[in-house]
Order: sequence, then structure tokens, then C-alpha cells
Amino acid sequence: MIKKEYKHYQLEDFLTDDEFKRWALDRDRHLDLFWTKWLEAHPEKKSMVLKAREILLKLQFNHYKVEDTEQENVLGQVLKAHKSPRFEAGTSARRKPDFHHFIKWGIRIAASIFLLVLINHLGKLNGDRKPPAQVIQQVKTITRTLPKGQKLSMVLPDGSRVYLNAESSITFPERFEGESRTVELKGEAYFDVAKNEHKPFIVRAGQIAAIVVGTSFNINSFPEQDEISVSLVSGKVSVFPKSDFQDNAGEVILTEGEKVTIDKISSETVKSSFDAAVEVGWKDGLLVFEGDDYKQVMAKLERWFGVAFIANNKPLGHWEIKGRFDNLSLEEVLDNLKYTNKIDYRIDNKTVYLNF
Amino acid sequence: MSKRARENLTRVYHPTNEKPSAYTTSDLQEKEDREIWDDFKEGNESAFIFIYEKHFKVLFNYGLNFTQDRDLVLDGLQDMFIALREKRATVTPTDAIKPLLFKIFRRRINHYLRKQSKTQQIRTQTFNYQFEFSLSAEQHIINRQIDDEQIELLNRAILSLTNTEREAIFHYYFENHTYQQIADIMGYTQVKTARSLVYKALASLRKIIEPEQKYLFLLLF
Repeated sequence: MIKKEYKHYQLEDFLTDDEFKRWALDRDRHLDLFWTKWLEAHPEKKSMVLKAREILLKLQFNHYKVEDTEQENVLGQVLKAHKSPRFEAGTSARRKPDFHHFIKWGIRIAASIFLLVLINHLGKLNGDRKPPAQVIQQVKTITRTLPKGQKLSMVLPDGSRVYLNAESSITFPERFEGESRTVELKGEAYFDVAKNEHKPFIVRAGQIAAIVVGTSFNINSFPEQDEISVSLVSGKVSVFPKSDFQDNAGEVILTEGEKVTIDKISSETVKSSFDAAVEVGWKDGLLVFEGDDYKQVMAKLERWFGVAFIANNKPLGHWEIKGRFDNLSLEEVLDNLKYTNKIDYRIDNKTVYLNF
Repeated sequence: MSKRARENLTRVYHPTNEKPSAYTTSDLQEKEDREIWDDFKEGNESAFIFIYEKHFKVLFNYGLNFTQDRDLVLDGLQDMFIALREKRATVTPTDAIKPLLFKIFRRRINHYLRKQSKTQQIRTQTFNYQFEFSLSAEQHIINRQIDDEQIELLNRAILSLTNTEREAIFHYYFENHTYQQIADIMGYTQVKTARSLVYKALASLRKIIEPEQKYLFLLLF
């Protein structure tokens, strides 16, 4: 610490001192030691130091809130480079955000940089076989893969937000060019799609494809499960059980609150409603069990926490777990299960041993 | 198991060799400001969106200290981010993104406010009282040094500080900007100007609760 003459300090000297401010507001333990010792050596300054500290702790500033929707609306305008009228002159034409009003999003690409459309996705969708336009520029594809125990939230090149669950991967191009935005999913993800009526957003997951226009939905297609499911939180989604879109075979249109499960073998579809917490809660750290048997519970916990589970025995009789765990640690969840006499456990390094 | 131990259990993710141009939130949180800003300048859209999402709310809050006109603040943010995105290649590089954005935003907000007051007959109240703050009267500190009466006196005194003084205090204590950054944001060429702004404001407050000491006795002969 720079040699300062703290003993000559007045109240405002303490208040405007960087180290003092850090001590008073951040509770730095290293600094705590210094100041305790210093006060012992200079008791005449104790009252002033405590006064200064008290002032800093009592300072309160206004905190102005802004809605997430307002933030997203402005981002939409920014990405389209729509300057506000205030930029030139006059007052703002800003409207209050209106949920029923579709705001057109999209990234305007300067004409001087990109020349031609690359591949005509829409042609494939309609079953027309147009020859692909000449590829002028190679667009890189990116894949993000997550192991067990990890989740992440990320932003795609069009501003769409994706929450990727553990043991899942998503593949997408560096830039969304052409007439649609296509991504590939393995595993599970929740999408918050940026609105663009001129460029539908397409998710291919295994054998299915979902087309969306400005929407929040969840797709679950883990390999060990027999079905793929799509749950729509808001917006509109068309689900095609066969992702080559032939004859629009079996197209299922979902409205908000609806879910469709597609059998992987038969491609049969079943519509139902869903509990948002169960389907989508994972992205906010909500671990949900709805009558899962012991094998399902172990698989879920393995995937969620990225640890290995070994069962020393099998449960006798009927054994199931129903419950919701909100952002709890592994031990907290296990303790919870132990408390309800469902399990006993032991953690050894990277493995959890279970006794039922 | 500790959180650290649990995190260590996850398998290490090996990214592909090519540098991805779309970032995950967790990637970006580990990067230094300078790198994120450089990536943004190079044209990385995800970096731009990350910067936007990380700073939008604090900038909005900052703007509403200048004026209660929410639309004006939102317009300012919109135009600023558009301008940044358009001129990204030539924008100044930086080691700290937040104070740079504050600086740019401050200029724009004040510009819009001046424009607005020119076109309006009635001068809006926006210039009158900015960067309001006060001392809380809550009693959750043990061994209190300042009584309620003094708190009231101080809060009244804060009202008579200048907007500039209050803004500097806001930067130093609320946003935790350094004096160098404050000087940069508020347009002072010298760092000490920023510090003395805060210092003199607080000295005037101190005199309220501590009548002048007998400094005469400290004179050196």
C-alpha cells in the first residue's frame, strides 16, 4: 500500500480514498486486517473512520428498471439499423411494446459484401428441386457440444437465444444466409427465436424438423429415448415428423401450450398439453421428477451433474421419485432423497454409490 | 462435495480447431474486455450482442439519471448501438468496455437533451435534478456514529450539490469507476479534476455534520 498519512486524514479524505472505499464496501479480508491494526494504533481516529464507513454503507442510489422485452425490442431495431426519429430531429415514435404486434427482425447485410444467395433451402421445403445457386462464399459451420453436467446459454448469429442441455450438441452456420435459418440439434435445447417472417427458423433433430417464426419452444431428442418431443411455449411451430418434408407428410402445427411426441420408429405423432416446469424448467436449473423409476432417476442425475452413479442393489417393490429441485447441488438433492428414505448414498471421488 | 470438485467432474470440452464466431455465454464471461471488444471490432456479431446484453440495463439506468424521459433514453441506446455497429472497425480499442460505453452514451444523451430543449417551448425539468442519491435512514448498523438528525441534514445538503458533483459521486461509489475513468467519461483532461469534484462535494457535506475544527491549532510554526 502506498504510504499515506492516514492519521492526518479528514472525513472526506477517507471517503475518497480507493483503499478505504474498497474496505468499507467490499469487505476485503486482507484490508480488514490492516484497518483493525491501524485503528488499534490510532484510537483517536476510530470515530472518524467508523463515521466514514457508515456513510459509504448508507449511500443509496436510484435503480431504474427496464423490461427485458424493451431490451429485446431495441436490439431488434439495432440489428436492422433502424435509427430512431430522434436521430434526425423531433420526438420519438416509440410505441409501448405490444405482444400482438410482430416486429420484423433480421440482419441487413450490406449489398457490397455478399453477392448471391447460397443454397435455396426453401426450394427443398416445397419439394421443388431447384438447382442450388452458385456458392460464392464458403460459410463455416460451427458445432457446440456439451458433455454431461454442463448446460449453456448462447446466442446464434441472428440473435436467437439457445439454452443447450447437458449431453447435447447444436450445429449452425457462422452466418444465416439464404432464405431460412437452419440448425441441427442432438439432445435437448430450448429456443428463443428472433422474429423474422422472411427467414423461417428450422431445427432438424434426428428425423424431425420444426419450422418456427418467432417463438419459444423446447425440443427433446435424447438418443436413448423412444420418442422426440417438441413443446411450444409461445409463438407458432410446424413440426414435420420426416425432415425431408416430403408431401408435408404428417405436418403437426402447434399452438402455445401444446406438445407433440413423435415415435422414432413409427413416426406416429401424439399431441398433448404440458407442464412448463417439467418440460422447460431445466434451463433455469429446475430438476423435475414425475414418477421416475430408479433407472430414470440415475440417468437424469448423471446427465444433470456429470457424475457416475452405481447402484449397489435394486429397490424392493414400488419405487419412484416425484419432486422438483430448484438449483440445488448434488449433495442437496441426494440428502433430500435420503431424508425421504428413498436412498442411502456415498460419494467417492467421481462416483456416487446408491443403496435403496 | 465442494462446488469446485463437482465442476472438476465434468469432462473437459475440446473445441474444434477453428475459431468459432458465435460465442457461448460461458466463453465470453471468461474473456477479457479487450478481447471481446477486439472481436466485436473485427465483425463478430455474437460479441456485439454479448456486449449489448451485458451493458444495456446499466446504461439505461445511467441514462435515466439525466432525464426521466424513458423514450429519449431508449432512443439514445438504440442510436448508439447502431452507430457502434456501423463504425465498429474505427471505434477506439479499449481495456474496459463499460466506462467507454458510458462515455459515448453520456455525450449522446446530453446531445439529445439539448436538441429537445431547443424544440420545446417549455423547458423540461430534465436538467434540474439529476443523479439523485441519499443516505439511508435504516438502522441496521451497530455502533452508529451518525444520528437521524445528521442524516436528515446530510440528505438536504445533497440536494444542493450540483448535478456534476452528484454524477461524479454516482460514478465513484455506485458504478465503481476509477478517477481516471470518471475523468474520461465526463470529459476532463486531468484525473485530479475528477477526484477533486468528489472530494469538494463530500467536504461540503462533512462541514454540515462537523462544524469547523479548530485547525488553527495544527499550524506549524
